[in-house]
Amino acid sequence: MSSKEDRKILAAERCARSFVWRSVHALGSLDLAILLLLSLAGVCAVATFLESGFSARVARAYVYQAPWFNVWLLLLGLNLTCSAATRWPWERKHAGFVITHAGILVLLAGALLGRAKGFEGSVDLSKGAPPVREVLLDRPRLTVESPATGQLFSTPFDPEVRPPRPDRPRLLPLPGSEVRLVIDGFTRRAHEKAVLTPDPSSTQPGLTLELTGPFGPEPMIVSLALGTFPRIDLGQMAMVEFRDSLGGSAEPRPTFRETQMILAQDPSHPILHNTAGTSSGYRFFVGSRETKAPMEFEILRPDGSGEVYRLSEILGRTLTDPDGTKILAARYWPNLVLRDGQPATEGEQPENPAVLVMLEGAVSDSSAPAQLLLAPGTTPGSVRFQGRSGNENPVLGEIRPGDKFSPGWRGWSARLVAWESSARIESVTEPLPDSDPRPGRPALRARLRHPSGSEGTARWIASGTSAILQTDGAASRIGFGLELQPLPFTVRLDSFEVPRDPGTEEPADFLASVTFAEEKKNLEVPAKLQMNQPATFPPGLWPQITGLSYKFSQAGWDPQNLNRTTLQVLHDPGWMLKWTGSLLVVAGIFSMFYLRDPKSAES
Amino acid sequence: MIRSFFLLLLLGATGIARADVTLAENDSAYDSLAIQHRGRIKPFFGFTQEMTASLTGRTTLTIPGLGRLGSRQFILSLWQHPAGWEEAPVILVDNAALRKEIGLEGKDRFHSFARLSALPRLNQLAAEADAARASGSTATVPPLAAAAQTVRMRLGIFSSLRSGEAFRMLPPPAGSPPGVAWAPAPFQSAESLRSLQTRGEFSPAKLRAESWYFNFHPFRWAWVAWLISGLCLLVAGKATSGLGRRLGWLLALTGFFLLAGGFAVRVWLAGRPPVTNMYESILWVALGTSLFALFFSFRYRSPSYLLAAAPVVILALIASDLQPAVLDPAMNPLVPVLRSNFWLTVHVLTVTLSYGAFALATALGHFLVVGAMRKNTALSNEDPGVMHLYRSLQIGVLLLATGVILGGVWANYSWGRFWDWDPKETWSLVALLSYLVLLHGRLAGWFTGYGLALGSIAGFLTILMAWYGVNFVLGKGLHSYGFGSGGRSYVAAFALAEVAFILFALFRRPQKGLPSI
Repeated sequence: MSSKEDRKILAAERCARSFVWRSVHALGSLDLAILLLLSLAGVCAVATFLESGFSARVARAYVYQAPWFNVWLLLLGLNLTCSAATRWPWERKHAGFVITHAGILVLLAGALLGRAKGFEGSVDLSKGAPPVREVLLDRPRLTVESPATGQLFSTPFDPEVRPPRPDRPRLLPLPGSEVRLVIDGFTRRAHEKAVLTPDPSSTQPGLTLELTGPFGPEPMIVSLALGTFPRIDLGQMAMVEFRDSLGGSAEPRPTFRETQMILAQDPSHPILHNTAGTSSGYRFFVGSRETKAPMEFEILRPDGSGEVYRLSEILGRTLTDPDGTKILAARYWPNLVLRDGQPATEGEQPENPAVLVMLEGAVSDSSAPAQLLLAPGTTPGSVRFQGRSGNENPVLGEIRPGDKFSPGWRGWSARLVAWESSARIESVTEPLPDSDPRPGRPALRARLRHPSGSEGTARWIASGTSAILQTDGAASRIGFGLELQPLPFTVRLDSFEVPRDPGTEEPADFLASVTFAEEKKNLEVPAKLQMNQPATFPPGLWPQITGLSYKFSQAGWDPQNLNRTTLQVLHDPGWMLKWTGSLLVVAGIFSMFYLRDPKSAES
Repeated sequence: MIRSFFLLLLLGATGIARADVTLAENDSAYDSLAIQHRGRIKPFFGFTQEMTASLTGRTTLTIPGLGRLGSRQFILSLWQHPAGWEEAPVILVDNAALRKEIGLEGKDRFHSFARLSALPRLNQLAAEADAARASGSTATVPPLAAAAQTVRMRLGIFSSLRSGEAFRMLPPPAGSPPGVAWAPAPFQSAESLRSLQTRGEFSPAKLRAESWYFNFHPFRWAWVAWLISGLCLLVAGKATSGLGRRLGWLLALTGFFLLAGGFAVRVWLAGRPPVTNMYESILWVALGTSLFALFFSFRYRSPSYLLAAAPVVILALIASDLQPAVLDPAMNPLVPVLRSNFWLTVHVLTVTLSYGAFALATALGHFLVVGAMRKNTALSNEDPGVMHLYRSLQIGVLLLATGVILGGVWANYSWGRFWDWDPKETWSLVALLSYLVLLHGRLAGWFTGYGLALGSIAGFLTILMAWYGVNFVLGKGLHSYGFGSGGRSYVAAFALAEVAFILFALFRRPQKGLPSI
């Protein structure tokens, strides 16, 4: 064993001899180590205040996941490596020191690997809903379409980190054009609203009603247009319908009517236009998910069933599902571009295939007990109405714009706000006011700016949707939403239970049964998970040890809807390295402090 | 004193009206009766303590004209003779700004139910807090509104006591499924209630033990033992043997066993590890500090560890004894993520144990710095006091590093990811890095004993932030089940005093001996 003095001489000799050793000793110096540790501690401390003052995403964007922070960690890694090297040749007394430093290096390597190859996301599962095959990552993205080529470009875009405001807009160039995208607004809660718009080209009348319920002073605004947007359901308990005449009782009603523009290149952001009722839950894919062949068309129903058609077979034909839903693949564009804001095709090569699907559902199970029927009146501009609630006698009458009337529902009053003899209904995304307790989706306000300075109309784009923006001679589709990560298998929820503490509503646990399925291998694996006891797929020790499995843990629940649960999904190939590193660090510190000859404690 | 005692006896026996309210008999026969409260079946005595602490901030209260009342008699009186209590000033409104805002003049902190219920501004503020909370996690509740919400909660508790609704003492009929709520019982004698409590998922022996635990106050006796131990050791001074020193050892050991025993009973009663709130973590830190002090002082035959540990243990235990409203001693059920979780238990206990070691180090640091300043002599690394300090830091670093990593293990197991830069995680990392700087700085020769002592005092401030600050100041992140409020001014005053002490010690650093600090 060499003495301290011998080591000093050895180190000085090799430093004089070789540049490499000189750098190793410089990079591995204790002073550098202390400076790095101090600065890391300071930066982390500041970051927690950033998180407290703003949000976790802000802290992440500016510190924890910022490039300079990674450089800092790499520098620390380099310092650790070099400082271990400066002790070369290692002796028994160095064991603890070397093990600890190696452990930290392994840990950091595991973290880097996990960052690069792994992901962390969440899935919302509902009982009876179709199996889920993709995970929502907490990484908002913006998808923009080049006005020139129609090509799609996607970029990470987090409005929460530096919320865009009118006085602080974010400008993004649209690839291949001079036009710029201006984002100047962000809201955490936005909703879809139907707005009555005069339209001379329309032959159908439209109206706007104001309904005031017994629950609050805020009235509900309802806009309807004959033919295209004739009815609306107000929750489970009531519906309003605008029809040609009042005669007879309500027909078997369509519960939804919507159009979807499906883009082969960006199936997760269809352009949805919901003209009646709630969302259908149907999804479509141009190019099936399996083969991606552009001439195929896949239908995925809300119950998880579905099939793949040849596009040529199905185009222009109406399919009727057993439950009465009508699906029409109405139009096809092999290479979709936007000309004057209208979809058109440029050539017949399937470069950017898109299909317009129209669908109408006629599910007839639940019947609303309260209804208000409206029809054009005897004189132009007047409206006849018939209101009915439960078994009570219907209320009949004729009204003109501005008139108040009773819809025949207990505690409700109504007013005809507007009438248009030719109108259409436009669906508009709007931020919810703070006083409105309804849940909403985050949304961005965006518009296009032409180099000439002219600007298009600004529109709100809700998370998970896209919208077409226009300005002088240019149009582009802009999508906004969280990044979706496909899974190599599917997962569905079979049951979900929330036992409570005795005598209270406080949850004591969350128990979920799920089924993982891998179609290709024809594999179905049921699994149970509860709080603190995640389920993993594929099962087995090996995938778990190596971190190649996907881990599902209980993350959130909805007290109002016990058929639904939110699971956190983690895939972390760096797992094994992290664990090994941790073990080495603890073992190393222990042996450094307690397994050493106390006399040589100083080194 | 004796007169009032007789008066109380007389009052208790006959229930004579006094100052508008009637007092019930202070009958300990009720103590071990079962009552369902906050998701648990507990002894009646524990219930009265919790309820009294919720209403008044203390477990005893003083009513003008009636004198001091224990929790049992107070709650029994409310139940048995509710008339008149709505006029008694028993509800705590401790926020002076709130008192002014809602129109309560004067410095009185206690007000009556009738008076508080008649203040429209109070309800308005509380409703604002509700709205702020409902609108999402990003909105922060204004402090005044939060304080109003607390007072409104106290009003709710008071009316549930006065109406009898809170006394859920009738077990559900035989054959009911588990988890069914118990029914409120009208006031009856302890015997007749006991005869009704023949069913239900509870053990009478355990209830008696819990009632005894709340009556006995093992932690109060523990700090008394440590206080006398510290005094004995101080008096004994540098004498290596003798009565004072032996007595000091013995009392410290007694204090430790009281603490450990009380803790063990608590774990047994609650049926879960003590890892959930500030109260339990303060007890555990005190336990850790006394354990390490005893171990080191036996191992290295030096009483200075005990002397250093005494103030830490005494302060911690007095705080937990006197502030039931902030440091809640109730054994409430855990949120699901904390239940039946081996890794969590190990992780939290390891981390908090390291806090105990660091608390010992910071106390030793104070002794060393003050001593060096008085003698105006620098401390070498070989000074026995510095060696004591270094040993405490070592065990702290080992435990903290292990605990932080175990936290990763738990997070990976329970939430799915190893490390997420959650504020609690990050601050324990900051604390660990600070102590690593301290150990490495000593190796690099940046400072010697004096600097190490000052560093261990500064390091404890990062521990304080990780321990208290994240939950009570930052109030964000996944460790949200540990959030609370209160005591902020005390902790801030402590931190400021420590910073001032460090600055002063740097300014007055010893001039003799080694050149560096």
